[in-house]
Amino acid sequence: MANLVISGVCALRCPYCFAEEHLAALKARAVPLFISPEIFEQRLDFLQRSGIPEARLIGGEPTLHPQFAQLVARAVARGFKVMVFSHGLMPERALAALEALPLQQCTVLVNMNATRYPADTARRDKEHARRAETLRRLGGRALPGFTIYTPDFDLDPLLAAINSTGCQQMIRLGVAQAIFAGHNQYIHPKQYPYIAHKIARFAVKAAQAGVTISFDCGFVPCMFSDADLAVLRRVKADAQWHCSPILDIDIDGRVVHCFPLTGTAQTTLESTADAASLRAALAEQSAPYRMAGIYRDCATCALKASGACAGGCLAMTLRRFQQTPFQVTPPAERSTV
Amino acid sequence: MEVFFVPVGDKYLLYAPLHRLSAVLNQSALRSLRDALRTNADSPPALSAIVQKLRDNALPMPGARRGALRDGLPPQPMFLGLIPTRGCNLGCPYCDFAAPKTRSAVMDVALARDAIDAYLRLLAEGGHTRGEVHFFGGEPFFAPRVVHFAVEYAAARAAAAGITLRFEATSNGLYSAARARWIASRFDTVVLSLDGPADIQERQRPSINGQAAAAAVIRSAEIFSESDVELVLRACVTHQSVQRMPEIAAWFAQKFRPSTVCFETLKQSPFSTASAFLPPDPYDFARYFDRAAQILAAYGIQTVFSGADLRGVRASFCPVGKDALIVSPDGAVAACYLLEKDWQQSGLDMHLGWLRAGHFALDAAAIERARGLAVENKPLCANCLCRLHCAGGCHVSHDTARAPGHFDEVCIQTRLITTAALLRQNGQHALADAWLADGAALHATAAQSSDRLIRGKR
Amino acid sequence: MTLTRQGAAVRSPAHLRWLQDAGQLLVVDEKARRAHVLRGHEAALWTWFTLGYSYDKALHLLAAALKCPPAQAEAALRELLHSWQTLGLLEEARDGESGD
Repeated sequence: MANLVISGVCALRCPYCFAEEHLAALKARAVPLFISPEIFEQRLDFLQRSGIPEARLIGGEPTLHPQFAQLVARAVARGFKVMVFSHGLMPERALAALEALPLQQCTVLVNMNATRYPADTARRDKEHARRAETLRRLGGRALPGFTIYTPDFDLDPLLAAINSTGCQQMIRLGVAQAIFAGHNQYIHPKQYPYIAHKIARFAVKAAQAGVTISFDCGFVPCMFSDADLAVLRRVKADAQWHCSPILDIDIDGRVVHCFPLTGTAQTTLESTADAASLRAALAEQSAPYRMAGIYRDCATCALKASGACAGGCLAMTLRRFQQTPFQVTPPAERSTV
Repeated sequence: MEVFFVPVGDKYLLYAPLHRLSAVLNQSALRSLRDALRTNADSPPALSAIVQKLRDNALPMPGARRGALRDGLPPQPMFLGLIPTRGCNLGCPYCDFAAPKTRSAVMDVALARDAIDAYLRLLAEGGHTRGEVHFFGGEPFFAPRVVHFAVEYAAARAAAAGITLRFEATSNGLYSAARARWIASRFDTVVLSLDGPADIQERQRPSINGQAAAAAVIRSAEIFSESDVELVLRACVTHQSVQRMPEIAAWFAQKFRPSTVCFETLKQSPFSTASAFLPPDPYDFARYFDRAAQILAAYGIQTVFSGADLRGVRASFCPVGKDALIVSPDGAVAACYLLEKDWQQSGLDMHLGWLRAGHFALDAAAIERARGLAVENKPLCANCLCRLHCAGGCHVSHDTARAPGHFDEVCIQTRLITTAALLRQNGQHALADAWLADGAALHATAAQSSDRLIRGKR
Repeated sequence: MTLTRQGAAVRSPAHLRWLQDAGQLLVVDEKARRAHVLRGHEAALWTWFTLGYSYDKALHLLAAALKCPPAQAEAALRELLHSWQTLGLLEEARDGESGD
């Protein structure tokens, strides 16, 4: 799996945005805002030599790329499935291009709580209505997603949207993770047990409506009670407990573990590199930190030791570390103090 | 039989804390239930589940003895309490701790070490693998060297002995960011006194030299919010701030990440009266507490009033009687962290003994005396539905020697908050809202002198 | 090590990060990509130094923890500083520099 950054712009202002730090870094490096067709071709070459069958397009907002339709067409022509990570408020030409793709070759993960107006309910309602229209037009190509960034979240409106639009009967849930060096809104691991119970209760309601839930990275099993884990199994939720280098490949060829880890482990996409070698390079950089996890007890947890749980999001783990330097000045040797 | 009821408008709230049962009934159902329990007769089908549950085994009464003393020492102390100093860097005008206003002794690190060693020995000899060390003051971090030493030393010694220790501190939050970060990384729980946004905090909790302190305390709360430590925010509510409780709750929920918010009413003292701070009206406090609790609940934050904490049952309001060993800077060991002069004014003796030559030298009779300070020995509480949660409140400041049902303001707010919380636990939100808006109904609930469903059956 | 025995200042290199986990203190050397686990009095001393305790103050606390005279504790402290220097957890502090 590897994500290709094709756009460095986004018009929304999501309070939890993982990419803000990353987009600011792009600007600072004077990287072009959009990937060129030539570089995009090279990225497809990379996917091909890495044996990756899917072109995952991210941003910023990928659909804002002026040549989005051509890039998608090119990926499809070369035999890739296309997955687009979008806020769903896309330009008509992008929507039309995606709508025209065969169902099996296209998935659009629509982030249902992306917004330009975090504090304005009326405008958010308008965004929701527009996004519902995107879901309707994309039909089975659209997979609704939701990022939990505050404990008072409400997933119920998603069920209504799914039922009325004909999109996939699944919700991809993410927990907002703290950007390593940023200031986004996020859920702290000590809040996980509360949101976990809420998710489990929602999973039951969703199952009754024929909708399943699946987890993005960063979840940990210990956030759920045993009873809630049993619920997730019963409703066949796609629950995973992983955090491993996805590979986010930037417009200028920089490769990071993932957006929240911008500013830490990174490498560069060389012309002969494949995904496995990049992943190994990033894993080596972060290996010492993997001894820890998001909780104090992760270091001694059997599930983590067995690899069944990654210990939560590495960006969250890194934020637990301190870096205050100190100096000690021992006196010259003395016999008594 | 610990089964109680209170009127809630034209309905009744039934509560059996030892059966973990509460329900809302009408008058005829309540009568039928009382008859069924009195006579062991068959109950109406609609009540059979309740009757059956009440006839089933209940939880034991809390406060069952904590085990016979071994060599004069409690076999399982609730925790080791350390008071590094009675000094404090805040000058809260309502504070009834006289000591912080004067120069205070600081515990010697060797004494802290000996207390920890003696406590770990007690745990090891009892075969326990878990323990707790709590820090009180004054402000414990006003003597930072003692705490820095005690925590690191205790952690190292406990690990070597195969014991897992929890660290908890009650603190005012007025210190550097570096100190707050250490606390955040080392402690399991911090109970932080924060009375509200900066204007309330500055008015109620200025620094001892009169300088602004709110910004540093808020920074500490933010550091605790971003870290592993469990944050409990404790806000003192006065007659001036009571109406702002919902606003305080929203601010806490949106700015910090507490697990729990404790709202406590101002305890009137000569200091508070001199500063024109008064306790809130108990009815107002109950109403605004309920609103604040609903705001916090949406964020997964528990709201607690110490007398109406429904998370468990207890026979004593506080650590007193639960074999907590609280060590003062001079090595005195007490059951209570309050000042000796305060117990004495209330005719109590919480002194348990001394830490001498690295060992606890405790008076077995004193331990038994503290154990006896339980709700079953508090006449006021005999027939109150809150008795196994409030347990009579603070042994030192709340007079419970009065006749049953002679409730004071502390009792009134406790009874109302408990009732509101139970109604909401039952999903009776409309009933709770209507009852809280009806002054006469609230008064009827608060003033009922006996809540026992079956009089004389205890 | 000679450095500490001569009484010169040492400091934590800027490429170290650390965290407190249950029962251990983890120090990560970003440059060497290695992790070091400190426990017991070693972890306590590291913490006291990060809290800004001077050599003498840390020594006083260590002596209290070891229940031994300061002179005896000092030998242990110097030995520890030496071992940290060997592991790269401390480096010589030169005037006018603030770590790498």
